[in-house]
Amino acid sequence: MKLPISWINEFVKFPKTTKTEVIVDHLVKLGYEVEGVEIFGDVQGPLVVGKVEKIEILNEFKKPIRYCTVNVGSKVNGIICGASNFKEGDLVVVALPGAVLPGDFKIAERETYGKISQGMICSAKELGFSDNHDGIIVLATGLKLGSDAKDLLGLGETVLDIAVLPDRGYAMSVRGIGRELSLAMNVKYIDPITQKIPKIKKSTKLKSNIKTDKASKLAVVLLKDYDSNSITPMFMQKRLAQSGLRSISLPVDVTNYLMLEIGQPLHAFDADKVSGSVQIRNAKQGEVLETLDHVKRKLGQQDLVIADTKKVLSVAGVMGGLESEITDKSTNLIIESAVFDKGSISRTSRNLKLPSEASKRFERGTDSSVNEYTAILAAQYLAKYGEAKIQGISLAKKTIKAQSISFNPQEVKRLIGVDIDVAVISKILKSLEIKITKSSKTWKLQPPTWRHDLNMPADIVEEIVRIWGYHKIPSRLPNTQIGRGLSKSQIIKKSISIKLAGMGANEVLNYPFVSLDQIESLGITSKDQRHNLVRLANPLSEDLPYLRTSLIPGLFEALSRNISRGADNISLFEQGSVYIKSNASKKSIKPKLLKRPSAKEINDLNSILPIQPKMVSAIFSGEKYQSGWWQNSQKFSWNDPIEMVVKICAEHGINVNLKNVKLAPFHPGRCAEISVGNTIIGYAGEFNPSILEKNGISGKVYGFEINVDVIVNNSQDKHAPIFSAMPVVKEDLAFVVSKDVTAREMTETIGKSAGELLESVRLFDVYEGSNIAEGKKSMAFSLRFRASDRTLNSEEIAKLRGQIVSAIEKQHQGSLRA
Amino acid sequence: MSPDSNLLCEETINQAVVQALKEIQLAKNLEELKNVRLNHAGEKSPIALANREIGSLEGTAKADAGKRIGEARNKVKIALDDRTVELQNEREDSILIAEKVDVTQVLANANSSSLMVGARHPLTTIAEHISDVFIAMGYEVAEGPEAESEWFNFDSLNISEDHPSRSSSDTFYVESMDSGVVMRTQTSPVQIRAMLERKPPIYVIVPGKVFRTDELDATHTPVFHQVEGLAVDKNLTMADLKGTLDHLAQSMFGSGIETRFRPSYFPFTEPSAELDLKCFVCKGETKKRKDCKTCRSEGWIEWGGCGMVNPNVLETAGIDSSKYSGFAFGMGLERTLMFRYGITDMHDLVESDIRFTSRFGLGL
Ligand SMILES: [Zn+2]
Repeated sequence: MKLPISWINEFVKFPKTTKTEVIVDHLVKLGYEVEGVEIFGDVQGPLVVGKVEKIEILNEFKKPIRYCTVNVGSKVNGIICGASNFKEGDLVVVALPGAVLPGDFKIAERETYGKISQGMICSAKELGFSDNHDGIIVLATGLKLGSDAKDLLGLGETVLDIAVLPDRGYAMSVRGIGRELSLAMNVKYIDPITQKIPKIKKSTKLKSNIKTDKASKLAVVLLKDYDSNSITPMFMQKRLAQSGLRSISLPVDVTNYLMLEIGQPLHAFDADKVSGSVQIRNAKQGEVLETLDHVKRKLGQQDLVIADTKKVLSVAGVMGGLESEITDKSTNLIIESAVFDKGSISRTSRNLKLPSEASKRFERGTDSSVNEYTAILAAQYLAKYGEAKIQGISLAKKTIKAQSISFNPQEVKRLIGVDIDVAVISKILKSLEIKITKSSKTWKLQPPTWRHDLNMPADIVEEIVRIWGYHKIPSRLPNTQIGRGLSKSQIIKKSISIKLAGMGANEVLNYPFVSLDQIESLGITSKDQRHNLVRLANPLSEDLPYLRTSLIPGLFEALSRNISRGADNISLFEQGSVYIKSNASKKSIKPKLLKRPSAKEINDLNSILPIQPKMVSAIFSGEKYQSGWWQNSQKFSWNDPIEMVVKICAEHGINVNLKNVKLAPFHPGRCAEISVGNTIIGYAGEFNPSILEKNGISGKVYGFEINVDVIVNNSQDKHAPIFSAMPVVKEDLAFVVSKDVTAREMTETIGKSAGELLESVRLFDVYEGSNIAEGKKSMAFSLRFRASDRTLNSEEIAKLRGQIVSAIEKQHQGSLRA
Repeated sequence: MSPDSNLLCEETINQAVVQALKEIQLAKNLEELKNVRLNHAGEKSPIALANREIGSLEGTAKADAGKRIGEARNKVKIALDDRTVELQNEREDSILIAEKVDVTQVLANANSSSLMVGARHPLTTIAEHISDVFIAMGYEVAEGPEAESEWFNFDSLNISEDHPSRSSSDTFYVESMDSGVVMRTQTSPVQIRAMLERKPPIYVIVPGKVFRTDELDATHTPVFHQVEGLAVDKNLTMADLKGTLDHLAQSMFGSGIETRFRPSYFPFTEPSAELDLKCFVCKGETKKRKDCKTCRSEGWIEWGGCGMVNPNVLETAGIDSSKYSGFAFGMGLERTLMFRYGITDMHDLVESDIRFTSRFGLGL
C-alpha cells in the first residue's frame, strides 16, 4: 500500500520536518515493513502553471505537431507539443528551460520542427508519477498562471510503500496507519471520520436489504443530475497518483480516495441501470456476471453479490459489473458501502483469481461502523465537485454481537517475561481505543469495531508489547531439560551419509517429481511396488506429475547433468523419502480442534498418507582411481556397491545375506539382493546397460538402493571383540569346483569344516580358462587360523586342511587345485 | 677354566681397538658398518670376549682390567656412532636426493591418489549444525512425514479453511484436492506430532524438507528446507525465545551478531515476531549499506518467523494452555545458507553439480 507522508501528516500531527527514516523506523517497530521509499516525481527547476492561448497545427510532419502559445504568467512562450488531448484555454503544466525532469531529462530552449520551443507541456509519465499516462495533464480552472506546479502536483513528496500484515485490515488506510503512527510518535491524531458531514434523509425511492448471513451492513445513497464532465479536484488526483492509482472519473476517484483514506471500499453504480431495491445476497449456482474487465464470471452459492431485484450488479467486495458501470453519460448515481464477512470475500476473490484493492481490504476485515459515514462523505464530494444532488440514503443492517475478552494483566508477564506496570498496560489499551471494564483481577476488554484481530488474551498481550516495544524484550535462555542427543535412527542416517561421502560420493538432493515414463524406463513393471505411484493433484508440470518411488531416477538425471557439464568419474548419493501409494483407500477425517485428537483419530490421519520409506541410494561411474604418474587406473566394478552396502550394514551390527536376483534397473546377472533374515534391505550391483541407454547414459554405472528404516530396525548393539595374541597361521587353498557353486556356499562349507580355529576366510581369486575343465572354475581362498591359548603346530594345521578339503570334495565335488 | 690372560692384556686390547677404528673408517656404507659393528662391538668381538674374563681376576688386577676394557669399548662406540652419522648424511646427500619428487605434482592433479573424498550437501550439514546447537541445549531432533495430512499441516495449526496458503497455487495436493493429504508446506506439522507424542516439558528441533508450488528461479524452489524449533514448558516467555534465537544467531554468524524482534503475524503463534539479523557484511552502516548485496541495502536480514505458540494450537495438541506456554520458530535453510556463504543463485543448491557440493566437503 502506497501512501504519501503528507496525507498521513494531515491527520497525524508530527512536525513537517520529521525525517523519513524516523517515520520508517516507527512503522517497522510497529510491525509494518516499509518496502519502498519513493520520491514522487523528482523534478528540479521551474515547473509552472500555464494557459494554452493558441494552438497552431503543423501538418508537414509524420504526425500532426502542435505549436502552442502558452501564457506562463510573466511572459508568453512558444512550445512544440506532440500530444493532442488538450484545447485552447486549458491550464497545463509547463517545464520551463532550466527544469530537470526524472531520468536527468534537461529542458532547454531549442529549435525543433522549424520553431523555437521554449519549454515542454508535461504529461504525468514525463513527470515520473504515473507509468500509464501519456496524455498531457489538464489542470482544473482557477489557478494562478506562472504559479509553481510542483506543490500543486505533489511532486517531490515522499511516498511510503507499506506492507500490512494479513490480520491487520484496519491499517490498510491513512486512518489506520495514522492512528498507529500517532501512538508510536506520541503526537496528536485526528480520526478522519470526525470530519463534518451533512445529514441525509431516508430515500423514498431507493430501498436496500441484506439477504445473507455473510454481510452485516449496507448503505446506499442515491444522487441525481451528476455532471459527467466534472473533473476530479487536483488534491484528489495528486493523492491518487501518489498512491499509485489512476484517475478514472470523479465518482470512481472519490470511492478510491475514501477507500485509501478511511479504509472502507465503496462502489458507484449508474442508478439508471438499477431496477428495484439494492440487496446483498448469495449468488445462485451458475449465475453469470460480466465484470468490468469484460470477463464473464460464473458464480456459485458461496459467492456474495450486490444485486437489484432482477439481476446481479457486482461481485460483492471484489469487482463491479460491466452493465451498471458509470460511463461518461451517467447522470444518476448510487453509492454503495457495505460490511462483508472477510472469509467469504477472500474465498471469492481467490476462486475468481481477482485480487482487487477492495477485496484486499474486505478479506482482512473492515471497520463495521464507518460504511454509512463513508457513503455520505462520498455523496458530499460528488455534490461539491460534480454538481450531483443527494436524493436520500437507505440503510440495512444485521445486529452483530460484540465479543468481549476477559483479560488478566498478569498474562503479559506470563507470555513475555517482563513486568510492565499495570498503569502502562491500561494506558496502552486505552490508546488503542480498547474499552476496559475493571472488576477484580480480570478485566473485561471491548476492542474497537475495526479490530478483527483481537479475540483472546494472547492477542491483547501482543498489542501491549507491540506498542510498548518488541525491541525491549530481553534476551534470556530457558532452563531446558537435559537431552539425550540424537536417536539411534538419526545416528545411523548421519553415519551412512558421512561414510558414503568418505568413500568418495557426493551427496545430492533431487526433486521428488517423476514421470511414469521415467519409472518405466527403469524397467519397473506394474507388478513392482515401485510402480504404485502417488500422483499430485496440481503438479508444477504435467510432465512430472508423480512422486518418486525410487531415488535412482533422480540420480541418473544428476549423473547425466554432471556428465553434460564435463565431469567424469562421478559418484553420487542421496538419502531421502520415497512415496508409495498405499492400497488402503481411506477417507480423510478432520478431528475437532481445541482438544487432543483420540488415538483412533491420529491413526486415521496417518492411514491416509502414502507409505514413505527412507532410502539411501548411490551410483558410481568411471574410474575409482585415475591413472597417472602415481599408479594405474582402477575402474568401479560390480562388487563395489555391494561391498559398500555390506560394510554399511556391518557397521550397524547387521550380517547380511547376498543372493543373485533379477531386478530392474540392475543388470539381470549382476544384481545382489541384500537381506537380513527374511527382510530385504535393498539391492546393489551393476545397472542394466540397456536401461542406462534409455536414460541417455553410456558406459558402465554401478549402484545400490537400500532402505534405511530396515537397517535401523535390524541394527544391533556393538560389542567389543575378543582377540587372541597367539600367532596366526596363514594357509592358501585353491579348489576347482563346478561354475554354479557360489562363493557363499564355499565359505560356509570351509567355515563349518574348519571349526572355531579358523579366524577368517577371504576369496582372493576366481579363475576360469586354460588348465581348468569346461564348466568349472577355480576359487582361491586365503585362510587364517589362530587359537586363543596356544601356538598351532603343523600337525594341527594339516588336520584342519584335510577336513576342509574332504568337506569340499564331499559337498561340492570340488578338488584341491594342484 | 683358567683365565685367558692373553685376552686381557693391554696390548691385545689396544690392538683390537686400533683394528676396530680402522675398519670403522673403511666401512663404505651403513650395511658394511653394520658388519663392522657386529665384529667389533658384538657379542663375539675381542673386547666382549675379554670382558667375560674379568670375572676370574681379583683385586686391583680386576679393577685395572675393567677400566681398560671400559675405555676401549667407549672408544669403539664413539667411533661407530660418528661413522653412522657420517654415513647417514652421506646417504641423504646421494641416494635419497636422487629419489626426490615434485610435490607440486599433487596440486596439478587433485585426484592423484586413492584418497578420493566426496562431500555432503551443505543443506544437510547446515541442518546438522543447527541441530547440534540445540542438542547442546537439551533439545531432541523430531521428524515427521513429508506427505502429510491436511489436518496436521493446516487445521491443527490454527490455519483457517479459507486461508490463502491452502490454495492450489501454494500447496501441492496429493491425488486430489480433497484427499486430505498435502506435501507439507512447512515443518510446523511436526510441532503438533511432537506435542502429541510427548508430555511437557518438550524441547524439539525439526529440520526438514518442505514443498510449495513455486517455480525454480534464483530465489525460489518448489522443494526447500526449513528448521523449526518448539519448546513447551512452564513459564516459557518471549524473552526465552529471544535468548534462544540470539544464541543460535551467534553460533551461526559469530558472537558479534546483532538481532531484533519485529511484530509479525502467523496463525499458529500469538504474539508473533520476525527475527532480523543486523547485516554482518555492511553492519547496517549507511554508507556501506548502499551497495550491500547480502542485505539488499536494507541493513537488516529477515531470518525467520517466531512467536509464542497460539493457545488454540496447544489445546488442539492436548496441552493445557493456562498451565503451559510455548515458543516456536522457523527459518529457511536455503536462505540461511545463501547469505551465510554468499551463494547468489538457488540453482546451485538444487542442480546436483558436484563442483558445488565438493566445495563444502563433509561438514560446514
Ligand atoms: Zn548489508
